Amino acid sequence: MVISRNNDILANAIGSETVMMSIEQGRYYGTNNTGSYIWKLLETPLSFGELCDRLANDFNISKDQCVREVEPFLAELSKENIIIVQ
Amino acid sequence: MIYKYFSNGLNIQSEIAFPELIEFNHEIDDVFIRFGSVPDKIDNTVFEGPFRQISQNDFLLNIKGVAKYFVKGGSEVIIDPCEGAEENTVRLYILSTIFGYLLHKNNILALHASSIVSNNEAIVFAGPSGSGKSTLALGLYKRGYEVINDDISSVYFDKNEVPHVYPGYKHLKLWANSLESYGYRPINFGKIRAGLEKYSYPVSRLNSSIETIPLKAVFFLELSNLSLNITEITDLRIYNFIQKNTFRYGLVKQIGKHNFHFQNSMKLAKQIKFFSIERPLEMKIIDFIDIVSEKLNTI
Repeated sequence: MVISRNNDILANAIGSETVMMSIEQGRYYGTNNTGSYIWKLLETPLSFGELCDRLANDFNISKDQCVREVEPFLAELSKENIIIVQ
Repeated sequence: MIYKYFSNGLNIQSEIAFPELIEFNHEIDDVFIRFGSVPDKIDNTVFEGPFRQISQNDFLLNIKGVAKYFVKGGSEVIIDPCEGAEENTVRLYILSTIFGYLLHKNNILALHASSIVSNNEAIVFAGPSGSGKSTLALGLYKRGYEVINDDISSVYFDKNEVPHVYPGYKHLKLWANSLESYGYRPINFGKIRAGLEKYSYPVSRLNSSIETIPLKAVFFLELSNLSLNITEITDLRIYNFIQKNTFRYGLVKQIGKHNFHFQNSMKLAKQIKFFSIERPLEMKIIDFIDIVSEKLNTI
């Protein structure tokens, strides 16, 4: 499973938060700093495992906790077509 | 007769007079406004609504009993007035919807806002119709601040991407009760159009310059039932406020300018200060002006 950004999404940061805009739908979404960090990591496509390894390391949390917390977030991004999961 | 103006970043040549705009004898037009016949339909539309049709390059606005307006290639505006239409009403749609279209089409970020100058920097007051933008601008004007825009305030990014405001308008459009709250008699002013209790109040500047003014802060006005509240906004609600207060934001979507609008909004969001002002309905205008002008000295 590889996770990548949808290139039709425009994103830009205000402070530690990120606004993401879907050109196609004309809708926009906001995320907090963790979400912004994930978006930044996805500049290069990553597998779910690689992403969680990076987050567990950078935020100093267990990989289990990371998997538990990140999965629903990614599911939501994928549902809104902000990221592509293949 | 041909008139030449500048407003909100556009050099305008027009067969119709706009005393509200800044007279400016430019060389090259961005926009040319003339009378002519306008078709009922345009081809290859990407959007069709009850009053407007939009194609890749053109825009048709059809206001029953007033006029048909056709914008070709984002620069040529043709007006086809209906028989017996009042001239001021015909002009009003140029200054609102057509201007909105021209600005977005030319990738200019246009806010629904009035603006003034404080210590050589522009302060923008944005808000929905009826939120008191023009009334506030008048109050500050009477205290010696220059007014550079009413209703539409457009942002210019210089070569270093620093945001400025284009001057654009030298009248304030005010409801009769706003004029009365300052002790004016509305009858002494011209109506912006027949049948509407809204009047045009001229605001003069020492030099009617078209020079852009560095933008310091945007205030988003809202009426409220609670007490007066001025809060700085620093998180991503800024984007929400910019979008909500973009002049004719619906057009941005319809003409497919999301990308430019988003990039310009975010460029702005990162560089200046934003505040929301909740103003209680019952607050006296004089007290409100006191508080705002005090605030302008501290930001």
